[in-house]
Amino acid sequence: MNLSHVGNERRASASATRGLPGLDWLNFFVANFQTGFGPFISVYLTSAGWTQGAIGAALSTGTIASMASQVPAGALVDATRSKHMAAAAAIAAIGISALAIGLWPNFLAISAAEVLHSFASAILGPAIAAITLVLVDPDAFGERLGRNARYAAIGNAVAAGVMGVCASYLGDRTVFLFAALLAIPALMALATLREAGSAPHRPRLPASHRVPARPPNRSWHFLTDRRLLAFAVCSVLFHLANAAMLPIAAAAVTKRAGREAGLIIAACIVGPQLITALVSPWTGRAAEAWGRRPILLLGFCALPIRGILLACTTDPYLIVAIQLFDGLGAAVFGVLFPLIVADITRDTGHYTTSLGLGGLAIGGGATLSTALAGIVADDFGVGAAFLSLAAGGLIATAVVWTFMPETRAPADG
Amino acid sequence: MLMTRLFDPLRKIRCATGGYGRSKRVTLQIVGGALVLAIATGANPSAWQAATPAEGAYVSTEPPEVLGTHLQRFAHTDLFRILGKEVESPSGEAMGRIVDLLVDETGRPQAVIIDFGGFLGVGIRKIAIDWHTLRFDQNGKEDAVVADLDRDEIKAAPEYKDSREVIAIVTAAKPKQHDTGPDPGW
Repeated sequence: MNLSHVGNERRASASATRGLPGLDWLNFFVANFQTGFGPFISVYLTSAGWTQGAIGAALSTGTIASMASQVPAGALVDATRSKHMAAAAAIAAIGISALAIGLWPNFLAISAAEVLHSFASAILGPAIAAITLVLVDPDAFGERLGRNARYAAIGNAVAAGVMGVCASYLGDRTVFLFAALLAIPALMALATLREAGSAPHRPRLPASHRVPARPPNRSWHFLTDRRLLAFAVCSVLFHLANAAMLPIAAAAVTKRAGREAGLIIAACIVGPQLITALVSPWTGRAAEAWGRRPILLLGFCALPIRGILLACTTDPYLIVAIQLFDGLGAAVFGVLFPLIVADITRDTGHYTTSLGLGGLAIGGGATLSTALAGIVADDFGVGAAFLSLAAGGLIATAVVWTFMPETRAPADG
Repeated sequence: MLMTRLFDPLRKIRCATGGYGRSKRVTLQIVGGALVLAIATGANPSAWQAATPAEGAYVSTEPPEVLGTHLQRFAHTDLFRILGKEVESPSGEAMGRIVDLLVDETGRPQAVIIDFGGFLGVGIRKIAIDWHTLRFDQNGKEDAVVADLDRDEIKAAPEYKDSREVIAIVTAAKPKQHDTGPDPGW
């Protein structure tokens, strides 16, 4: 106990702050090469001459596959002995699907690539969280997650810029070829991590610091943990209020702004990422120092504020400024989601399964958000849509306030 | 037969639109003005002559090679797909890709829907543009289709939705000389 404890402390102080550059780069490149798979696929398929129906079918296949694979993929990572292998396989699979999308824009290949990408992404997120959990001391986990989120945000910002340039000057296809290429540095970052991290140290980890290869306790009691359920509900509500704001704001920019509209929308995407990069490490530290609840409330509060402000203006440049609140929300949620789930399920052997459940909640909330807000925007206007989203954010904040308990382990001697 | 029915009108339109006088004057207007015209106004029949083959429209009409199949042959540069094609303003600015085509009950194209604006797919608005503002005289294979409209005339138009009862399409500020329908009045 004593020996391993000393070892842990030394490693934690080294790793959470300066060390583990491999983990930094892993997060950077993974965020990087995931970026192209968003709404841009539909632009690409349009330029390949696809009909709207076919594009909708292929993308719906991806959405359904993504929802369906969250929990099974999380369970698979829990059951896998080597989280590194799981992450490596997922990165390779995502690289292959990017390549397939870039090379063969036919229905079969795109649908297959969408399904493969969905499943691999559902593996990759939890696998990285599990790798992080193994590498750092529990006390430093929040801070390390903050660093993960920082590098992921920088990766997102850089990728949005580079891919925007690719799409404009080199053709839509190059976006996916570029993404596929980025799987290589991601794998390299992962490989350095294996050497530096797990192998020599793992045997010395006390049981509570480890993600067991096999659940020590096969019961599914963790599912009835009220904290987990409360947090799942909060996750649905957060993304229900959050996901539609950017697309609706961006469409409003397209409507108002002139030639510079594309750049303004790019700023709406990149700006919040920079804020996330700035704020995330602080978020992680603060969550360790003050507890999860106050930080969670802070991040959720950003939602109604953003919704109300967006409803009040149509000026494209003000929209960019208001969007910066998105960075705060994203930082808080990005750091606290894996942290709170770890608080609750760390010792159950079901950590990544629970992350998968959370992923399902997030996906469900986000999908509903764009659908519902789209209907409100069509029938009652953009302002009404933003106010509805703000109301959703307010409800989400109230739910956190009322039902979400503090999950940070009480400080012990 | 299906092919010819699909593509003959296209060919026709290329010939017909080539002759339109382009109104170079671009009047900035607010939405809901003459810019946006309800599609309900009837198609103009004069733009659509009887289906006589245009000069050089097809390379040859050969006797059927396959029993019962009549083939009409075109050079591959003469026909092209329009889904996915970029629509440009007269000044050469990219405005968006064609994602769909709207025809009236007689099968004549009335509008194309383009994906307008956005960055990496975020912030795109689907906007219907009057077919008659499009010019296909750029040798369609490589080049974009040119619309006699510019960005500012399109950006604020209502978004196209399948479910709308009235479909508004963006048209050129001045009615074409061949418009015989009642004056829209707005």
